Amino acid sequence: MLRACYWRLLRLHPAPFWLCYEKEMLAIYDHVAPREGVVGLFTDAVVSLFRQWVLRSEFRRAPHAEPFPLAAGGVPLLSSLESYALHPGAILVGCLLSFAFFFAVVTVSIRPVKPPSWLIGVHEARASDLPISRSSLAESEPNTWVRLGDEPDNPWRAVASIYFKLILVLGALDANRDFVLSPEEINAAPAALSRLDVNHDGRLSPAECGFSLGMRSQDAPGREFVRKAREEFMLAHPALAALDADHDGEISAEEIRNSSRHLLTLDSNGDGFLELDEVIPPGRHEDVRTEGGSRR
Amino acid sequence: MKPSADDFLPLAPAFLHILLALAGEELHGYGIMQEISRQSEGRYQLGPGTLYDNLQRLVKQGVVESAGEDPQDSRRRYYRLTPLGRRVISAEISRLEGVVREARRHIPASPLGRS
Repeated sequence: MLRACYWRLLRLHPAPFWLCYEKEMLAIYDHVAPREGVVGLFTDAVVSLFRQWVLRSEFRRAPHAEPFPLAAGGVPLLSSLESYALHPGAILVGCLLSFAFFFAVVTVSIRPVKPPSWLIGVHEARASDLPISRSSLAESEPNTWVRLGDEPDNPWRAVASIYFKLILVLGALDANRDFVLSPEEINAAPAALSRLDVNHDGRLSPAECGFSLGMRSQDAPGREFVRKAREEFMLAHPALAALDADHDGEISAEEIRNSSRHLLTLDSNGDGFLELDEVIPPGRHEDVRTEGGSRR
Repeated sequence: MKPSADDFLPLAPAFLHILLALAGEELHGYGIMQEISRQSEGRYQLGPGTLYDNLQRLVKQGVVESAGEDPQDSRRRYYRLTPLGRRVISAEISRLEGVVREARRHIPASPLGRS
């Protein structure tokens, strides 16, 4: 206990002094105190404390400023403005405190913050809470109804709009432009498809269904390419592939008459409606479902 | 410019006793305190604070230097006189001899004698 007090007394000296002589003075304390008592030692320490702080200011002057030592890359190494070396324990404690502070900041930063709940008014309404006219309580409506707006526009409606314009068959079938083929629209499919037969040959060619290559070729390889492109067009789009039941690259008069029945083969969930995910080519279905493609 | 031994004279009592203690051999702090007590027959006592306050100044002035740690107790450090320190203590002894000589001439019945 007394030794700790003596050590504390030494630590009150200027740092250059106790850093240099603390161990030696404690060693002397250990020799002298058991034999001669501690009064003289403490008196001497107090006088020394006064002397060091009042008369020995020259030992506390900072040395000439030296450039900070730099590591590779110009990063300054650990430096101190003091004229003495930092105690290793102080450096260790400083590191631990720094890590603890950093950990606390990170923890608080990434922790989800629960939004505060607000109460406007009182939990339990009473008649005395109405400030204007108590007699009108019977007719008043203390509750407030909040009506939410319509669901924001589904971005996939824009995609569907473009798709229904490109595939003329779908545009003709979707009479009400809701991008869903209802049972009524499916039943009216033969009449709607007949209106697409602009050359009145009784059947729908790929061009009448929406195919457009933007080029014309007279040579044999070119004609073959166009033929394959038309076939691919008719097969790639589910609605056209369903209507072209024999997959000959055209929708014949027979297929137009049976179009309602052929379209229902696309109704994978059997609800009688053809929705976006049932008429858009495979590969887009999951995206449409995820983005809320259902328009029922 | 190297300091002259005369620049340190006269020595303060604490300086004089520390240099006298170190004149014979290297000593650590507690050894210096014991040697001073022995040389002065117990009439002059230095506490650790006073001792190291003076050692700090003597080391800075180049009169005393550290001679390394005690191999048996790493807490202890030995000190010794530098060449300047030896010149300083020699000059101080010469000065004191002159003082004693003058004292004997003017004060014959002085109790300085050992009769």
